Amino acid sequence: MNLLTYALITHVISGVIAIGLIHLVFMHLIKKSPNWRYLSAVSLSSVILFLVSWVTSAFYYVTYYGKSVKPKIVEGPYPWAHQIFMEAKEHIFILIPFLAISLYLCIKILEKNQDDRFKKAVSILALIALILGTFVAGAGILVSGAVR
Amino acid sequence: MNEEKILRLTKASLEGVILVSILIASLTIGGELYSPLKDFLKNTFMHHWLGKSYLSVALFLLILFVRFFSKSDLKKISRTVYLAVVFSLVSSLSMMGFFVAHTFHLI
Repeated sequence: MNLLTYALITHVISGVIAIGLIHLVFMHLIKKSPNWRYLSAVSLSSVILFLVSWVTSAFYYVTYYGKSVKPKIVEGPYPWAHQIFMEAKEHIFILIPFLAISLYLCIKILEKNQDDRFKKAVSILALIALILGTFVAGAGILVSGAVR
Repeated sequence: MNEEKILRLTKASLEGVILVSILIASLTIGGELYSPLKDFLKNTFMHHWLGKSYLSVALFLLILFVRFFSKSDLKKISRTVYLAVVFSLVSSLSMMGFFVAHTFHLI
């Protein structure tokens, strides 16, 4: 395996685990009395994993995808996989680490001040990060499947 | 870090999300409609996507630094959480909608 393969594998695995952790955060946030210290550690881990996923995707995307993968998709039977889903995915992805950082900081507040209204707002923030993350992961699967 | 500092940092971070959402959608849609903008990002940062990534990190850090010094409370932060949710959704949907319309030559 070369460096590109390691970068792609790291991007996918760290991204999927980070989305799973956001899901975990969301599920705990809708509970009546979550363990805030645990949630704080989980959300911090998701931030770190999203950043790892971002850096490794940059390496793969900039050095390999545009030259070797994109032309195959665009000239193949499913050009819309790149034109719609890859284009949307690569840009929506940029928002997610910032949402994860904000989510972590909100949980740090909730650790000290369990206000119900604020907790509800934070659970919606976690849900949006989860929806966008799931879309990005799903689009990634679709784009991979379009390479012929 | 004390509670007041976390409150200020969180509000600044959420404001950063709002402005990054606007920046990414503007650079992405703007770059497709006005090619010199995309070329500028490519020529300056090696790749247009790297340009958008670097600029969004720079903007987020700038907002963290500038807005950290303004006072905040839980009520204001709750409002900013909802704004961050709305802006990130609108930004994502506008980019998705744009690429759908662009692919089918509606734009």
